Amino acid sequence: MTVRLRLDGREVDAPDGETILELARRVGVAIPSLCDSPSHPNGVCRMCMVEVDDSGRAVPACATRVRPGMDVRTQTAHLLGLRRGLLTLMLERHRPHEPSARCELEALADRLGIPSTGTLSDPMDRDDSHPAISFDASSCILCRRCLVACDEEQVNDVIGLSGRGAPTHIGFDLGVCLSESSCASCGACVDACPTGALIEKGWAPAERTVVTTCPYCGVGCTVEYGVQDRRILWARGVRGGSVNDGKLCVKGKFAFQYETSSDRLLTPLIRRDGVPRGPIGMRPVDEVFRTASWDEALSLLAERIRTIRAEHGSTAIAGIACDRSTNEDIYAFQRLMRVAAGTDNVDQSATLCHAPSAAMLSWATGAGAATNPVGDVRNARTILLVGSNTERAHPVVASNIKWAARHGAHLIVVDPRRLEIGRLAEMSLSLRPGTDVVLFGAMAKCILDSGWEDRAFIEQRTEGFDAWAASLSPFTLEYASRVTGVPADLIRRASETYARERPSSILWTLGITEHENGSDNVSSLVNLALLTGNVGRSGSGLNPLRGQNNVQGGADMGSTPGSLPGYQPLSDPAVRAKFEARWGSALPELKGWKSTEMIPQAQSGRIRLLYISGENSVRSHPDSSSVSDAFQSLDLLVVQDLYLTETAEYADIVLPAASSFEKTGTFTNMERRVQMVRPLFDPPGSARADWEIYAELADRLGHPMPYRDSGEIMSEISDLAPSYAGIGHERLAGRGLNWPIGRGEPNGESILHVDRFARGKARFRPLGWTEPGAERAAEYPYVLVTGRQREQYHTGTMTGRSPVATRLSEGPVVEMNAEDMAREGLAEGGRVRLISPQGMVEARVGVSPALPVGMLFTTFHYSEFRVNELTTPALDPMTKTPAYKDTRVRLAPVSS
Amino acid sequence: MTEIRSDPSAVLRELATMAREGRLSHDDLEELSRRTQVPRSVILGLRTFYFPERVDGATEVCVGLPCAMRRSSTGLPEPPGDSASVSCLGYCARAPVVRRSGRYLRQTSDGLEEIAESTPRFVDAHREHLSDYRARGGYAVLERYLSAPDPEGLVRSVEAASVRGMGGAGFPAHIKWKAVRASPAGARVLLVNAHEGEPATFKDREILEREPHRLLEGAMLAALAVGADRVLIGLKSEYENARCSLDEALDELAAQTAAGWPTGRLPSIEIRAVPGPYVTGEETALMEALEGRRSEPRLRPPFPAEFGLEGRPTLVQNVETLASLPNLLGAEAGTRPSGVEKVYCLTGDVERPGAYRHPLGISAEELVRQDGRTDPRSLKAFLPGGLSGGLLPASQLDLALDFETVRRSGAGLGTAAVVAIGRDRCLVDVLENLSTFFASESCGKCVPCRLGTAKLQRLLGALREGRASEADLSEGLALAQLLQETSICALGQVAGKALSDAMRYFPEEIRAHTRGGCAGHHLPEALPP
Repeated sequence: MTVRLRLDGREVDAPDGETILELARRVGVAIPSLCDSPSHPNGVCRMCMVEVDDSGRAVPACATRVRPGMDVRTQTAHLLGLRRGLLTLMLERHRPHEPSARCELEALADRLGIPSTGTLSDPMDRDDSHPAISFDASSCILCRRCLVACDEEQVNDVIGLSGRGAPTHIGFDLGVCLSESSCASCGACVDACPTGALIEKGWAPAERTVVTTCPYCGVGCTVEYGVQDRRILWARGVRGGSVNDGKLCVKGKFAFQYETSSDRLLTPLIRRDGVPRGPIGMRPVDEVFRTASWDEALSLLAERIRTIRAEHGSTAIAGIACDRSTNEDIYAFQRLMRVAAGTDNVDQSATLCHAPSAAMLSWATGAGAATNPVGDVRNARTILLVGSNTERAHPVVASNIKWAARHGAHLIVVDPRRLEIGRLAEMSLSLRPGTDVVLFGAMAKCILDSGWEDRAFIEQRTEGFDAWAASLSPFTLEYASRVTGVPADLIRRASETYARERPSSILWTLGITEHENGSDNVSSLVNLALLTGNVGRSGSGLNPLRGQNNVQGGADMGSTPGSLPGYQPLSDPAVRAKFEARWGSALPELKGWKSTEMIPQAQSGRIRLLYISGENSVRSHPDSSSVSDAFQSLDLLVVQDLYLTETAEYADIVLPAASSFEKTGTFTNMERRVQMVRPLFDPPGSARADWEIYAELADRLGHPMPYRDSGEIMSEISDLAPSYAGIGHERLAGRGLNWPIGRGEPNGESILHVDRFARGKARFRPLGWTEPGAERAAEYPYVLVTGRQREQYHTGTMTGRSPVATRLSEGPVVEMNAEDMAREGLAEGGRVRLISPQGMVEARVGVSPALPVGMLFTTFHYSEFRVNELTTPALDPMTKTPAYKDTRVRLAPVSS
Repeated sequence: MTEIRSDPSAVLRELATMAREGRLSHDDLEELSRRTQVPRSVILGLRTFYFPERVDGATEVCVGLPCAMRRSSTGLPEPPGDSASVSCLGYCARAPVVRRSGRYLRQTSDGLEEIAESTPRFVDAHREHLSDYRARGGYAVLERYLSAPDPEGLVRSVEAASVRGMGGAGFPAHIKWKAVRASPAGARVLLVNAHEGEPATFKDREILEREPHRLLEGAMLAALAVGADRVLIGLKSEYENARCSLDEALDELAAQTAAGWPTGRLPSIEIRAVPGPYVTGEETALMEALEGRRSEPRLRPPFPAEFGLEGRPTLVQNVETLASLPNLLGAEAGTRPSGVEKVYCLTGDVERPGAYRHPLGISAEELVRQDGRTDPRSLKAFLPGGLSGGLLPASQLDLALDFETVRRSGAGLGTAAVVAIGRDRCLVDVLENLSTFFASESCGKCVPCRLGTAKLQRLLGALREGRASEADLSEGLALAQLLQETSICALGQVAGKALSDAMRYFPEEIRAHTRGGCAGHHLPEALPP
């Protein structure tokens, strides 16, 4: 309904419910405000007072809704007087600071002709304890925007008010300094602060700004970078239709210094003759590698590819694509490998993490991707969060989950650890590691036995129900309780809530996928959603939280053995014909190896040439010694990256790549949103965009890929991959598009399977379960789980080169339950040896109240702590995903 | 509408207990956060708002205007060095008052003596029992409306009698009642505002302690009128004697209803002790406190009738307003005296301060002369409505003290707490006392009040010491205007009113201070908070 009113003498229309301030902003009338937060009119600065009708009293525009026939005046002399009075009050208690460019108070005062009052006579101390954020209470006007940002939007609840009346000030936690608080360093408070009281250390106004997509995780936040010369000065979250709606995490906000790290690769490198492959150690790079021109490096590589192919066949060649690079880069890589090198041995990083999710979702529904958008969890009535330490791995998603829980959603957390997000959970199911199939099977059986299933949905939209229902008979509540350690009545309550308090959304991360039965774990969740009709509507869904910024894109681009771009099977004759026609060449006949299979294949000599782009495999793959062994066995190892990573140190040819700040392209995030990536600078030295390198190499191999720019690559993708039909760089300007486009939704299909599943009807999958690692338990009594910290990303190639992130990290530590520590006779911070069948590593231990007995947790972020030397090589048989969550270890003292 | 799952008000109650037991260390608060899963930052906000650092066992000295005036005029010594200032303790007729270890004492030339009417024994002895209340006609009106429900008739009666809120705002009661009735049905609530805090005001305390059944009957009538099935009494936690009286009165009622009287559906009645300073008596601030947050007034709209306690349509009404209903409504049926009655609290420069009940509209002169036993000609000025109603000159002592007449003269009747100011008093002293009060009681939420009341206090302090200029005075008046127009709630809005009124009626006396002080009688220095 529209409302007609007068605004400064002019007739305007406004939607019913709009505030006067919102209206003014929309039509370009300037009403000042210092405390207004999006959807949270704080109403405390009182600057937005306006005159309405004949009422003698002014009213705040931020809190007053439009009414038909209202007569609003915003710029009278009287109002000006009020504004100046308020500004004067604020300025008298405000410490002006450099750079004043950041201060809306001073800017406003300036505009209204109020002089700054010079220095404050009794300023409070600044809190500079945090490495990246400075807080000056004397500049604070208590607008409360930071409270809204921290407590309402990010739901981190760090910032509070301390005191009453004039001495009121902002406090952190119970009134400690910022660095000692539970601050997550997301920077939301800094982005919200109108006076710069909370500000990035070293902030300066930027010469220019660029809006692009964050290079870290699968959320795909929109970030605005402030740039000066060849430096990034600062980053801010962007609102307005973005996935993150202005929110960032510590990495997106502060960890961008890696971009200008002094050890960026600037030229191609070639291993010097006679120098064996292996870690460089303390030797200068120059002693191991010599610089080379692109011409020399690519000629050499092309020649080696030709010879090895001729001698051993194209199956001896393999490549791992970089899931941090753009869709255009990855598409070019798989085309290079399949066409120019003739091999289907091409894989991406999903094999190491969410491949079970993609594979089982694809099997069941026809689409191997999340069904609902990131922000949609806010519409859920019930959230089932499984195997996800969301506040650490996907902080912005966590904010949405926490917001929903705060506003009445039932949050059910399933994880062996007691996660911090559990403080907002209605139920926490702390199951024994590896027992997920049993738990979710029991939930399904309970739902069926109680009659809580969605009969109509099952009948109309699924198949295979009967066989699956029959397979549930062992999963009684009693059995599940015994196996999982979760009380039966809690399982029942969780079942009832998930089934009946709809819409219910399931979100999960690697806690369930990185197991030998990772695929089964995922299927047990899919089955639950199908049983209860929780797919295809807002607030419901099956949502794997993906890791790399472009792992979804990498899979979409077909950088997976047997899967051409758009998930079209290599084996399908019609598909083959289409691609062969477009690419002008025959495609490989045989389906290739996954990355985790490439390692043993290299060890056995079947793979001879490995081209690794942007993966730090010797650190990230399980069983590191087998990886270095494989590298030693190869005829040729090529590594393309930003730095000389631990993996690159083994290479024969090292190629310098451009970062995502240095090229144009697209990333696809976890909700299938394809978003533009825009350059801030040119690449340094002679580094090049990945796709340019692949194109030139392909050319030298006799199969030119003459793209003039990355936009042409996307055009080709949209021609060949139906899911990407209609996607092009121009159309992506703004908020990007969710694939698939086509159903009439202007921004693409945000929710999948609304009327029908991608494959028609969804299928249930019967599952069995055997206890994992039972035979090893005696000798190796602990389960070692590897995961993530919030401030670091994966092997730390980027965050480890960003000082803010490093300073905020706690370093490598193996977390243990207090009882276990006592039994092993270990003290906090003590050193111990971890031994697995694969290897041995020395570690520092720390107590964690989150861990159950028998479980250890650590990260893989630190080069000084090579935890993957320990991890088991066991793989999920369907997707070849490593069981990072199921390494068995024993502890031994550090001997002299 | 947002829904908050846990019971955050429980944390505030827990904090109050911990405060009483002196368990507010950093570790205590950490443990509370861990145990309740309420964020530390929330606990910081509650603790620093409601339970600021205090020395255990310190003497709390009331520095409210009546106490400060009496202390100075009787030349009493300053209280002991470890004291903390508070306002107001609610025993203004016995000024000057201090509180120590939960006991109320008045300062005399012979030292501190306990205030008799503050003892539990006194209160217990003076509480009207149910049987006595019924014997004098009590609950007859309720019985009538229970047997023949007529909510609209109730509203009409209240409108016809022009009942105005007696908690300070003087808002026409029937407008609130109609607004609540017009809200979508759903659990409507009557919130009894028993968080008395206006200095010079102690009427609600006396009503609660001595005539709890009058309040209860009035509350139930109002609840019936607006369709509320739940009555919540938000009682100032320091009013422990009132709590006892109410508890006993409710027990008496419960015994009777168990025995079958009265017949009909009664709303449930619950008492909640609410901590908090003066501002907690503001109707939306009270709701914030009840919901377990810092008691900072809310933005309006929406008004409580539409979105009140926990989002429900809520009628908020002062104790005295409700307690006046049985008499008023009984009058209509011809069973009792007619017209609205009002309790006037008289303090200041009078011989006999106290609470006096009269038909609404008695003049200040009559109040001073008859009840206060004082010659009105000894007065220079008076405050008609506590500290929030502004100031009037003695020439207007003949003003009828009803809401409309006082409003038309540019002041506010407020709580009808009349503070008489003698000829020898320095008005700037009085203004400075008021400004200190508002500055220390500001909740700090909105810019004008948080910064403006502090500035006004500085200004008046300077004026009192002869350090302020004419320009400063003009700035003060402009500030008073800014406060009135831009503050979120009445505290800020009236903070500068007395200054504006004083300048209107006594410009020369005020201005003289810009030329270096005055020879008038001074109030004692305000103690540090």
